[in-house]
Amino acid sequence: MGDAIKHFVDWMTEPTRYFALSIVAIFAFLKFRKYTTKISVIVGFFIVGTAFFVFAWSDPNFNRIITKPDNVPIIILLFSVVFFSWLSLRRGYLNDERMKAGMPPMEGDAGKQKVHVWPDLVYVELICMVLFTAFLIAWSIEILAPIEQPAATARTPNPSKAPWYFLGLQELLVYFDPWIAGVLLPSFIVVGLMAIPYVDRNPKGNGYYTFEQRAFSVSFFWVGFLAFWVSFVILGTFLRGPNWSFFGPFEYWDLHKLAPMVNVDVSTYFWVKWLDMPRPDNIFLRESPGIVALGAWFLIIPKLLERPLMAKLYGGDRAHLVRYHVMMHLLLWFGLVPVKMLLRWTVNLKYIVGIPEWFLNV
Amino acid sequence: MADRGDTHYHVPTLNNWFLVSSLLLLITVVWMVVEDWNAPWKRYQREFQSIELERINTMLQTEALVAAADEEGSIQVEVEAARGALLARAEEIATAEEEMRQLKGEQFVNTEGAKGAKMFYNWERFLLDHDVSVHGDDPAYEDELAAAETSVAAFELEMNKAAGAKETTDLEVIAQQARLDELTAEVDVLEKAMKASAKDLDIVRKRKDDIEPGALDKQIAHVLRDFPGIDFIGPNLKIRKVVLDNLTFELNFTKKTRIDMCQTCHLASELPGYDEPELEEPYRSHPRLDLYLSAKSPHPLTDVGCSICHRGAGEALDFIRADHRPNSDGPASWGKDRAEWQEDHHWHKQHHWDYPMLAKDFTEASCVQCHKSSMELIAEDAPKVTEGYRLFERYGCYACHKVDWFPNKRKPGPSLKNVAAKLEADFMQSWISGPKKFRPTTWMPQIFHLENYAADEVVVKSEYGGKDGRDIMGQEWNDSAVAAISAFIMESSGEFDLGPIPVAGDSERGREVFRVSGCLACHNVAPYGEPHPLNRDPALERTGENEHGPNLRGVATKVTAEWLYSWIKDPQKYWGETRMPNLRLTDQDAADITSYMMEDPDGIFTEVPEGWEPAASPYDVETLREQARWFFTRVGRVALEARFNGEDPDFPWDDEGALLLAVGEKYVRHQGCYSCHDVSGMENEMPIGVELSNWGSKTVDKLEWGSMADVFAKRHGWSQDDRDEFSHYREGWLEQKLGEPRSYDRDKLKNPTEKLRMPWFEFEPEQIRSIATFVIGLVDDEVQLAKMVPTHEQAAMDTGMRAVRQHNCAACHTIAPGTVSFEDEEGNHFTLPSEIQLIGDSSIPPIHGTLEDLQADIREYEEEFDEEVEEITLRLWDTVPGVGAAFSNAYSSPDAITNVTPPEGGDFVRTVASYYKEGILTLDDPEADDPFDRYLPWNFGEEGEVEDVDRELRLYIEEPYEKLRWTFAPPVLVNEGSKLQRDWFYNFLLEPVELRPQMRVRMPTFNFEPGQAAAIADYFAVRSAKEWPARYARNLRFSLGTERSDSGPAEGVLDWPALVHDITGGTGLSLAEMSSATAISEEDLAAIEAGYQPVIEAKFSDLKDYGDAQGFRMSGAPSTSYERVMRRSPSYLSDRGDALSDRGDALSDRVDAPRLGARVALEGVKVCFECHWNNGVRPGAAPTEGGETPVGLPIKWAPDLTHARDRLREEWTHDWFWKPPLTYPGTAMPENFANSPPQYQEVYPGSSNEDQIQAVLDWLYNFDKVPLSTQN
Repeated sequence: MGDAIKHFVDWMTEPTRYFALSIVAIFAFLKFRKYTTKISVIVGFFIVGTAFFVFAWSDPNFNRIITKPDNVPIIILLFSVVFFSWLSLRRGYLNDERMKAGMPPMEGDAGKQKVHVWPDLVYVELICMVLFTAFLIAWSIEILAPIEQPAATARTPNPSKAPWYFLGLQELLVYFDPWIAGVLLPSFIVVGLMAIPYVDRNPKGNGYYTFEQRAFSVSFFWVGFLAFWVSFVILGTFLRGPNWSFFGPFEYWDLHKLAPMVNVDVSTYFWVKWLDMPRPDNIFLRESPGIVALGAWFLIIPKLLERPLMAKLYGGDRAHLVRYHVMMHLLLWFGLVPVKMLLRWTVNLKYIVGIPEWFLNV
Repeated sequence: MADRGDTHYHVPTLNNWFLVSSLLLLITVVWMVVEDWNAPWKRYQREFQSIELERINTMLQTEALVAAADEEGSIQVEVEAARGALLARAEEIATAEEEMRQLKGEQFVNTEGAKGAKMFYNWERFLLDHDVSVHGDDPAYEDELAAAETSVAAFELEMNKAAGAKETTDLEVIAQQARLDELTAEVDVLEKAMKASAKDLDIVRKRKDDIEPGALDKQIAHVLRDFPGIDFIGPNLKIRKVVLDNLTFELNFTKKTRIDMCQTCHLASELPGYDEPELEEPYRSHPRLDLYLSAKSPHPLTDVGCSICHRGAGEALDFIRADHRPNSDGPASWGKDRAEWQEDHHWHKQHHWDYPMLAKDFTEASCVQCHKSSMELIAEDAPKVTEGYRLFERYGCYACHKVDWFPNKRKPGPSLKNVAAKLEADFMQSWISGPKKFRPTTWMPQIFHLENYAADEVVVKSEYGGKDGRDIMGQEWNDSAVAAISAFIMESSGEFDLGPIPVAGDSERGREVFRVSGCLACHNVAPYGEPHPLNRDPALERTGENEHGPNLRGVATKVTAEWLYSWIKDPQKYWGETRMPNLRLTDQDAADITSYMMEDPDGIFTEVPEGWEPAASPYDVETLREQARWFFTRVGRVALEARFNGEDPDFPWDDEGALLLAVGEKYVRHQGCYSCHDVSGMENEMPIGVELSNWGSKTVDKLEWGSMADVFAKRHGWSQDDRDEFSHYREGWLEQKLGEPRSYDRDKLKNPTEKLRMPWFEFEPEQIRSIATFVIGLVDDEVQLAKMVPTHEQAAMDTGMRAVRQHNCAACHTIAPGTVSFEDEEGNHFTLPSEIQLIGDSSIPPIHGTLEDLQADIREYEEEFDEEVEEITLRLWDTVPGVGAAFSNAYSSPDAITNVTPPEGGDFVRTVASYYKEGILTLDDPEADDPFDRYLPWNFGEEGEVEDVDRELRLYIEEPYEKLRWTFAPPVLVNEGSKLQRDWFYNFLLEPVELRPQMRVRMPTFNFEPGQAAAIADYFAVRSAKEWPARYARNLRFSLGTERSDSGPAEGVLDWPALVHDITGGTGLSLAEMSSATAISEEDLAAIEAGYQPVIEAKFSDLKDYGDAQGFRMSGAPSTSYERVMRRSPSYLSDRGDALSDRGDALSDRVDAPRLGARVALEGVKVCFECHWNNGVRPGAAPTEGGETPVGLPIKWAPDLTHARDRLREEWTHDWFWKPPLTYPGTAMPENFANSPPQYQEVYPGSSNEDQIQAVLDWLYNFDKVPLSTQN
């Protein structure tokens, strides 16, 4: 029985399933929020989660990963993120119900814009600071810093992991070249976050929780933050082992584990597999299928969606066209990530456009 | 804060939260302080303080300190009395003190005044200088400047006045102070004396006061300094560290200083004396403080720290984080330490440290990183790693595994370039299949028929990659590979012209030539099974030294007579790099040995182990093709099949012979046969093994455990954690690899070209650990400190020692004496440089083994002769004060002997000596009652006569064993460096000359590598020079305690010990007497006598001065540079002639010095040429005064005197004439110049012994200038 559970969990956490399932789970959670926001659900989650930890604790492989001093914040993250996400959804749901019934949201009159700095902000912050200081002291006494020996460039650790908060980015390196995963995408994240106030001019939801009034934004946040950031952190922390190979939580971190994988470019699929001919020497010709695909992705999709979305978001006002395209491109870049991941997992796609001659690979 | 009512949060609730959180913060802060106060290392320090305190209290009870305290007390009384006396003059003193106070006040005022005046003067000077530089040329300022000059002069006057006043008061103060001192002088002197008497006591007291203060204020401070929360200011308990700027870590292209904090817990590591068995770590002294950590040692703590040797995390202050590593008993089991540590420290492996502390068993590994070029020198102190190093060399590990600095580059196995002339193909195939079947002691490893090609397992399907082919089993695979290799090697072998044997051999004579020529020094003929229970023949023993070359059992079945003859006659002809030396045998001797070995009348050279049969290895074409398919994948499948079908004219592989050769060549490359053997055409191939130059720095994740970690885990029921820990255990991986090299293929599917190739050496567990220790020591070069590189002298020693070892000099020559330790009846412990001379009967050769060997021999003797051994004779090899002079005997009961160490080398001597005494023993009557009757010499003649190899009757059966040994066996080389001139030694090594014609054993011509002969000569010289101070010190102490003889030496010259033989004790000054005479402490004297270099450097010159003052004469340390013979220089000779002539006591007319010496030797001593050869003329044959003397027996013969002038060092020869047995223990040279009054006055009237010696030396070193015809 125990082994069966372990095998099941190992099987479930294989990246394709893990990722697809977490997306499905998120949408289901949001969809059935009427039930999922019940207190019994979160209590049940914590009971089951705790039971799972108690069960898994005795497994040496699981135990070793969980008890690593570096991984403690992730354990905390695991529970805190779930709890606060649930809490926000619950409050949003309750507010939605209240507003449907004509009542103001729980946070008070939606029109009321101000509270006192003292005590409502500063006092609470002070208390939090004191509590956190106490907590950090206790933590530092009980769990010693996992210091390693002096680093040497010639002897990197295996696996070489980024700080936990960057593990999401590191995961992207599996699918994209460093200049995209490490430079372009993080830049888009920063730029995108800065652009929010300019792109999103909807005043609803300010100062109170809601889901229905901001269904797209909240869903996007859940997918983007929970599925792509937090769950990648978890994946990178617990499920990535030596050689960046994937390991189930109950699997032994075997240094010599192999992953059978031969990755192929779009151009190879197109020319060699479909047309059964060698790839052309001309780089542009060779990569033309990928270039066309990317062109379609970034140019045609926004154009196609321009009319319906402009109407929906900005009432068809063409003055907002720049706003629309900025948003669209950010979304498309974001969308490229799961698309590329899925293609990697399903058809072993290496590059959509692969021009190693110029170090230009997408 | 009250609730205002308009806030979002309820303020009183927030207040409560604030209260709770503040309390939590307070609690955690207190917790933090307590944790810090109670850090583990602080607990160790507290514990150590209490241990120290106990020690101090015990120390205060020791005699010396109690006496010091008493003395202090008695002086204290005197001080009190003197103080009392002072009371009477209290008024006087008070007045003087008051005056002093007044004077000091005045002095202060005047001093300040002088300072002020000087300051103002300087200021005025500055202004004037400034004005002059600006306006000096301007006539308008002339007056102003003149006025300023006057003003400056006034200031100067003022300043001088003030200075004068100050000086006056200064003098007054000094005078007054003197008056005051005089008044209290008595008390002051006493107080000083009191302090001096309690000097040692005060140090102890002070330390005690530090740990447990007496005064209240100090007690309070003591408590406060370590009080929780304020113990960061100036605590007593603090971290101790050593910062090593030169020993760095690599850190991203920079170097990080190494900091070791180990001493924070290991507080006693540097302190001597913390070594009682009940003391546990971390409270123990480091072992061997003379070698490690102490300031005088070669590895002082401040220079080397801890982690450079022990590894681990030097900056950690916690048991686990320091990455302590428990000792383990080998790859398959955990040691006792680990369980204890888990219990006491919750020990677990520190995952994030790549280089854990070395387990105690492996610490010696670290010696390698600095001692790469001095591995031989550290053999005594680091036996395990040097053993590993030597095994690494002997088994030829370096041939496959590159180690960049490894000094040996020669291929370890014999050349195969002409092997067809030596071996039959059948022999070769059986040999490759299982070398140990033919010769169980061979160091050629097992390469085929190992577990990853197990006989009954399927290696491949015969169709390349297909599924329907025939299974090819391991047996077929191995057999075909062996056949292929053999075919290729035979094919590649060149033509080698052996030629016929020029003379007919005589196997009977050959038996003896074989015995005495030296073959058995390096080769043994020991039977492989159980040794013959009644065999006493030393030739049949395995001694280690005679395992340098292969065991010769069965060799006649292997090679042809022609090859054997050619090999014995000139080994280098067949294999240019062989270590087998050329014995320069005559054709007849070589032919006789060949006949003896091939005809084998004794059943030695045709005896092969059971189960050995030279037979062709059966091969199978299908298997060969499959092998070709794996080896020739690049050719392509289609092309290969064409070759098999004979469709490719360049590769007609339908012919089996061609296929065999093709596969054979691939196999030779794949298995790396050429790494160990010369194979034609493969001279430039790279070795097949992994480079090991920095294996010790490899991280564990680079080690492939295969399934072995799981195998062990299952076998021993380990948990996952244990298994994981084990698979991070570098040492275990290595041990497993060495023990079962192919085991990492277990449970793995691998294609035949990928399978592991390391052969199986059948190492003993101890050998495995030694080799592992060495390999773990091969690390990246972290040792940057230039001074850790051995000195030029050490490097020379090391090269020489290596050459001595590689050419097995120690088989024939004893290089250093063994030691015997025993306890006398008073419980005194002695360790004597000596050998055990006799057990009851002189016919039994001396013991050359360990205590167990001795005990076994005693038992055997007692059983055989039914007689209890009550006393054992120890023959001293060097002077031991309190015991005896060199070459005297000491006696001990067998039970009192506590330890025996064998001498360095000389095993072959037993074989030679027993030959000369008894001939070659053969078993005659196993049932005889008298054990001696059981054996008969093969060449037994009349009663007591033996016919030797030269068909001469020998009468040596009655001669004492040792006499034979010193005459016929290779000479002892102890202290040889002070005897031989280095250039002669060097030339002799390259081209030996005949010194003792009676010896049948040959000094062979060795196949030295460039520089080795010089290195050997250097090594002996350096070694003797290093040992000289200790030898001098021992002889000096011994001589001073011996009654002076009235004889010989001139006035004021102290002879060497007069007593030579049979001194059993009680001679020599005690160390205490010596210490009081020389003012050198007893410990230092003992250290000098033991040869401890740091003390010798510091103190020996004082001892030497003392010896000179006492008139003790022993010639100086041998020079370590090439020497000139002073006595040959023309100026010396003319000076000597003048001196002798001036003295007027030499002869009536002026003669040259050598001629005088010749007359002393030949007319006075007369007998020189009775024993010594003279330029090839046999002893006794040369005319001496009084005509012919009878020709002496060979047993009396001594070296040719013609060589003395080039061969011997003058200083050594001088000592030699004084006291031959002391200079060269065991010699038969008589003491010619030790008579009182001196002899030979008729030849050299009025001469002292010393005069005569000088004269003879003059002659000896100018032998050629005094032709023999003029000598009488």
